[in-house]
Amino acid sequence: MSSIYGFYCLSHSASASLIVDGKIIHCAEEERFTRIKAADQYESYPQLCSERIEKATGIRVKEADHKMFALPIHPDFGDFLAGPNYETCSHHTAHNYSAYFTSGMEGKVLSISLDGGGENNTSKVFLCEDGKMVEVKNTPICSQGSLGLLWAFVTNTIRGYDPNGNPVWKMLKDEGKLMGMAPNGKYNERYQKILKSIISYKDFVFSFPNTGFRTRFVMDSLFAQGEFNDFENIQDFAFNLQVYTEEVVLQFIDDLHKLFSDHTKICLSGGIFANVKLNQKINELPWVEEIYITPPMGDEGLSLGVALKKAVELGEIVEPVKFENVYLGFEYSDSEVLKISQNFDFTRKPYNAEEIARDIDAGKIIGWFQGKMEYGPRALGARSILTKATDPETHSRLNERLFRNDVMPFAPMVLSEYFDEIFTCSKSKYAAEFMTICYTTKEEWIEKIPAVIQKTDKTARPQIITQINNRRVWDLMNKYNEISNIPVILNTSFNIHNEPIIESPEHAFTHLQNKVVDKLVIGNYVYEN
Amino acid sequence: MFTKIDDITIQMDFNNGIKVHVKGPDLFYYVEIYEYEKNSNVPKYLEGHQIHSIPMDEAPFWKQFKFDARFYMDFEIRISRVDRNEGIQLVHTHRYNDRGRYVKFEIINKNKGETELWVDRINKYCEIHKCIPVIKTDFTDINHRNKNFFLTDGIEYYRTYKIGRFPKASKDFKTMDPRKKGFLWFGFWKIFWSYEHPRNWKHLNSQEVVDDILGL
Repeated sequence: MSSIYGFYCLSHSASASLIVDGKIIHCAEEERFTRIKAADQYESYPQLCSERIEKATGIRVKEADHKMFALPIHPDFGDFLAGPNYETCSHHTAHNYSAYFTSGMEGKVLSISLDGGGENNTSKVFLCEDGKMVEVKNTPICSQGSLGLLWAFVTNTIRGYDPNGNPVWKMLKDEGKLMGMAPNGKYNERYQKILKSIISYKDFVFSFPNTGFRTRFVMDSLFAQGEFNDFENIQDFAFNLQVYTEEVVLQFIDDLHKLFSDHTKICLSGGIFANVKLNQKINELPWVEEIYITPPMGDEGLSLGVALKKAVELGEIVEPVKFENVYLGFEYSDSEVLKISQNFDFTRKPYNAEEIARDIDAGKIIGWFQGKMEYGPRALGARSILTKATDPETHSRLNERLFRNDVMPFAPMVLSEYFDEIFTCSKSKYAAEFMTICYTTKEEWIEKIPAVIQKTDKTARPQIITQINNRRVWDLMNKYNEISNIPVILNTSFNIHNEPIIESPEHAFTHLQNKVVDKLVIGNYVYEN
Repeated sequence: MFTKIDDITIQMDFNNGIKVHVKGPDLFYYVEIYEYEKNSNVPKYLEGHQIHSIPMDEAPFWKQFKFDARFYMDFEIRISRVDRNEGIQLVHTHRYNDRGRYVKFEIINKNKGETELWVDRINKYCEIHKCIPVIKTDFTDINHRNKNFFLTDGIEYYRTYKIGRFPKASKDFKTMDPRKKGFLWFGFWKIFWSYEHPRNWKHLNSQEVVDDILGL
């Protein structure tokens, strides 16, 4: 038996993972325990999540057979957590391992990581086949540009600064808001030129170095000229940023295809591929057979990647596996939940799927807390808020409840049997089990499920629900479908604005108490105020 | 050293590290420094950041562009502004060139023999660069041997080199923190020992110390 702990620290999105005998046992992000989303741009260390894994498994970090850290690392912390005998692995190599070895892909696969910058690179490309990976390209950050930093610094500057000088939107947290507002903007040649002057791409070279400071320079200058006083201009800039990013990344991938034309399956990792619209464009490339984006695509996935690398080296994993689901956190028994609930004043009754389906149909907002917490940035039916997708008012109603001001539409859960009926493209369904890719909605469904469709471009970011990946949600959705004839429900993360997704029953009960949700389903019981 | 391009005034000073100020109609300017390594025509990016438009005498240090390397580098300064229609536009470049210009060499060394050796190497530098040297040492007779020694009033030095064995200073914050393995590094800035030395002088002989500083 061998136990492998993987860690990522020092930057945002610290996390810890444990693999035992080639099986992924637990993966968890530190933010879920510190309750500080993305560490609020500060350095973070996977201390609380490691302790939680130790508690759940009884496998102490210092006694584990292998301790792996994805770079960068603060060695003082390495010594503190794991003792002196730990190994390190390149940041982008870990990204690529987290993607390829969870893709389940067979044959020739192109694995690409792309992010703001990790260790010395913003990107690495591997050719993969039969469980072997060969690095063929990398993009050194010291001499080249970074699309991730472009997004980070635009996010950090486009809404200006508060009276204390803090950005209104923060990098590493609010990039999704930019992407979400992009479809509401329009093409602007001037903005395209401006973006091109910050970073450009040709023949595997991203010019120019230090994209972060270049972006800030441009944004601060434009801001000072009053460019972003008009909200319409902010939306237009977001639109053009999205379009330009797609153009550059698609060109990069096309250039790779010219070199490695027999690699038509693609694995993606790194923060850039949190961009679900970009992933849709890649999926729609005619030569692409299938894409897969690792569900913890950002730096939170590095702890898994680095542990997978060790498992592969040890021969405990020999080929890519498939996630059945990413419920890799920690669960609470009914008795534990009952004990915690006694600190609150709720009524409790046994869970009945049909009753909850009727509640959803009636427009109630349901807190859904089941089993182990998800790994990665998406709530996928373990720590979710569920409601109906058929009411156009749901968007503003939910935003009000959750204290959010997002312009992004909410995402749908879709019964797998109905996916092709609702969406136009049928490629890469495994990726769609983890809500990592957008699809265009068929015309006849747009009016039926308006709360989960982006009105301008008619896309949605679905999560395919199967009997295997989440039996309980699958049952609930079937009941709801029987009542409403709609095989879709709205799923958003169980958290309020600026809060990480909830982890424990206490968090869920607090939200029920504060009337964020109307009812709370935890395990086999339903709680109400 | 002042340069004027349309309504933009650029002031560059290479005497105590490298400093750049820009005064013009824009609120911000972007200054970058690149290095040409020996026998290479491809500039390597070292560092860049935005500065406020403000003249030198009014500029607090955080509003200047400052690059603290005091040893010889074949560097290029690039200054850009933002055009709201075109984005980042280059307005000026300046490549290090001390030909025909006054360059000050300050030797900080109590050993006369070694000072003589270092003066020889300074002369070698001046032969290559065709610059006008002003050499200051701790030894009056050596100083008086240099015909420019008394001509310093009102002279604008293009560059000043301090030559000696300087201990690593606490302000050398750009030296990579060795505890942080694999930390992000934007640009080709070196893991050097001190602003005054490209390499640790403890491992060099007397001539190598001066040659390192002067890029010989």
